[in-house]
Amino acid sequence: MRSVLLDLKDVTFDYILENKQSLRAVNDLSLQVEEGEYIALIGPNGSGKSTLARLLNALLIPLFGEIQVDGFATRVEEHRWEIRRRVGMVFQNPDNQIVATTVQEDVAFGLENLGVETSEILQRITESLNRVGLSAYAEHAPHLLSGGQKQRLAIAGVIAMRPRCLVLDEPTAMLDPRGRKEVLDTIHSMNRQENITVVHITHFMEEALQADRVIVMHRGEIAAMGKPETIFNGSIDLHLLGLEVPPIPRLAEMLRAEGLTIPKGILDTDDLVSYLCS
Amino acid sequence: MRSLTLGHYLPGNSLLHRMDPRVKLVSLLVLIIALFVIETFLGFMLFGSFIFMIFLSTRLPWRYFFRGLRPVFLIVLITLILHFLFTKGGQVYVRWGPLTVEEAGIYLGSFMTLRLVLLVTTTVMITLTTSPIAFADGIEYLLRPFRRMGVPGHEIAMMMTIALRFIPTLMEEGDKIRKAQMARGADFETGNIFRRARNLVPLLVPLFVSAFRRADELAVAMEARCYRGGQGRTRLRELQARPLDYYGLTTVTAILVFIILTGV
Amino acid sequence: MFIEVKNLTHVYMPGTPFQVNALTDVSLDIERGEFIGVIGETGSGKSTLVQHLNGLLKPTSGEIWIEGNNLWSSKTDLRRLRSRIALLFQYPEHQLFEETVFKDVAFGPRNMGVEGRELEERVRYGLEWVELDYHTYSQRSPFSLSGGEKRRVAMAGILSMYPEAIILDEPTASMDPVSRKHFLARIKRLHQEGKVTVIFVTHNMEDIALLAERLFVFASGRLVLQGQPAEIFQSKETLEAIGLGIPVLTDLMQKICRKGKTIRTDIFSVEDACREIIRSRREGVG
Repeated sequence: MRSVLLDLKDVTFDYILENKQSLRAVNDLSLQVEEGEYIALIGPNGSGKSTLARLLNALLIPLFGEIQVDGFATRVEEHRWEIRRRVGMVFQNPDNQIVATTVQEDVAFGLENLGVETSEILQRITESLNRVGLSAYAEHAPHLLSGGQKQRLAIAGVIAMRPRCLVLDEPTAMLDPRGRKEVLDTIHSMNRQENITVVHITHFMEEALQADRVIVMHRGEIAAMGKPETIFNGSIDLHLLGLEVPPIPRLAEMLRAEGLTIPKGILDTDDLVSYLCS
Repeated sequence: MRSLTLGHYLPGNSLLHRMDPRVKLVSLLVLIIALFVIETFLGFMLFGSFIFMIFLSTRLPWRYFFRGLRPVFLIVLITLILHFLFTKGGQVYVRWGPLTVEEAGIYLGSFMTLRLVLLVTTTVMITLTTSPIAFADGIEYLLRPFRRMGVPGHEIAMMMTIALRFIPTLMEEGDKIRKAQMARGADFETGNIFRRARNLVPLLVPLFVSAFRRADELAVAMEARCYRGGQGRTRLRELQARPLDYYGLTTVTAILVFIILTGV
Repeated sequence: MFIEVKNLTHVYMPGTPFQVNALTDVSLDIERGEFIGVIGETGSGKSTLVQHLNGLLKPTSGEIWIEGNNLWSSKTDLRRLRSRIALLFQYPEHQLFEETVFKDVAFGPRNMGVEGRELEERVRYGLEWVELDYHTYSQRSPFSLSGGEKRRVAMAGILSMYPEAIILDEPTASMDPVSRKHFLARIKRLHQEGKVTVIFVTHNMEDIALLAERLFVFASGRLVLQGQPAEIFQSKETLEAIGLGIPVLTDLMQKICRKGKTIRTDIFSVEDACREIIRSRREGVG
């Protein structure tokens, strides 16, 4: 029985627009995320997933409702720093997260903010860079790195702070296939080897297939939630929710409609091949 | 564009490289004051020899040195010519219609030019041997005592670091925007200076908008990593003054004192 | 022959420590009306290549021929060329700068000397193609639009030049799946109805699998493969080694084929895959 790390109760959030009108981005949402879980958060544009991410580390504060991170309430200003050391965040644009003029200095940034002793900073940097495979680049200027490397640097900068949870807002959207793979492998290994809770926001359905739990958002609410097999097996009309079904599950569904009995849990290529060729 | 060495910094291991940036900044200030106190060509010669010796110790290639002087070359030339032509006094050496070149002009022209050259030379030497991060650290430390007066030393240093970090990125983006507009028929080359300034709008507006957007996103990312200004921050590298630094500072101060006392 | 690239080599900042051999000895042809896919990972040289096709970059060595004319030997009107062969850069929403959508879409044609009635027609044309209503959008500030709308305005700004060919550099970067689908449908229409030659640069195999007639595959500045998509996707290992992949469905069909079933592998859509799998099972060949 894993403990609850993130606890959201009846959370509502509005954006105030230029014309003073309010736009409800998250509506009466409740959710519990357990320690060590890998959650994929999917949904069409405007469904509130990015907003939800920013609510998790107190970058945004709910209008109504409560969010607790490891017992700390996001609404309490004094708790915000404790929350942000527990919930680290990686954003979509690799460049606009990097602050310093060398890789090493950038990883140090978060540690410096936390007031970690100078003697310990270097050690943690070495650890983190090792973890993401960037040790050879410690003295490099960031603009010389590839997209995938920059995102790994961003991840290193966050994990050096030893968070319990990693929230990633479409981290691979701006990367090429190689970069995407690098980043996804890094995230998965963090989750599996270090038991870091992961909340991964993505519009790539294939990335959601790897999660422990998939949460589908629609117009600020949770429209569906469950294991990837459940969400993508055709029982939920994802199209209606503004999403595309990944090709393999969609194909499986079409074949079922043609009379083939394909087990509901088939999500990836190899599974489908094994079944069709048996 | 990418060949611009950031702040002209060249890594190395000479004495000057290893000196504490705070000491270098203060020494630079002291030396500049010295330059303005010097009254004779002899003073400049002595000063120049000192700088020359330091330069040799850095083991830097000559060409970077001259590259540092290039931006001011025009100013130096103009200063020289203006003094030659318009400063009057003493013996007239050349007469060319209404224009004359007189002794005072030559003297003052040479004097001012020499001071300018030595000033730039000294500054270039410091920038060639000090990394941008070290600069920012040095400035942050030196401004700390002024915090009580409301001088945001840490924030200034942070802004410097971030600006330096983004210069190559923004230059690349500027290049991309320029090409994108050229692909739509924009012309950045022809026309007089006013025309060309106006034609820069399709380049500058998107660049500025983008820079602001980046700043916005960066601020959020910094907050997410627990940034809250300079309070309670530790540093990866703490600045440590060593014997070398004390010798350097003493030497430089001694030079200033010598110049003042001897009136050279 | 519309566009010919002959032994093109391009080196950035030659002779400096920052030298990059972006392209080495690349030769290829593009016929009028074709839909070409240029694929490769970041840094493979694909963007550098396409910037030569409208004269934005000059070859370090080699030649670019447009309709039988050497681009750099004669006094080519480059600005005019850029209205005929239009290039849309990656994240084009970042190039918008005018006060109104109308003015921004009009920028291209205005640089060509177009004004008045015809200018308005061209702006309408551009906005129509990207499915943005003229009345709703033309007087709005581009900066007040959503990311997707901005990108469409940028696209309209290229189409308003009535180009004969359009080069799209990773046009679906960061797009959500629904927007992507709409965009690709629009490009397909543009190619077929508008008779525009399309050069689509991407590292996303799914994008061009269905649309491209021919592919040019780049790695480390060299053209390593060229041919029809079905042929190219046979070389899965090669593609993976250079940082690319093959479409998921094609991979599926290839794997089924390798297990001994007689099945077509030039499949890129779910509908085709379904049909082919059913057919293969019905014919019961093992």
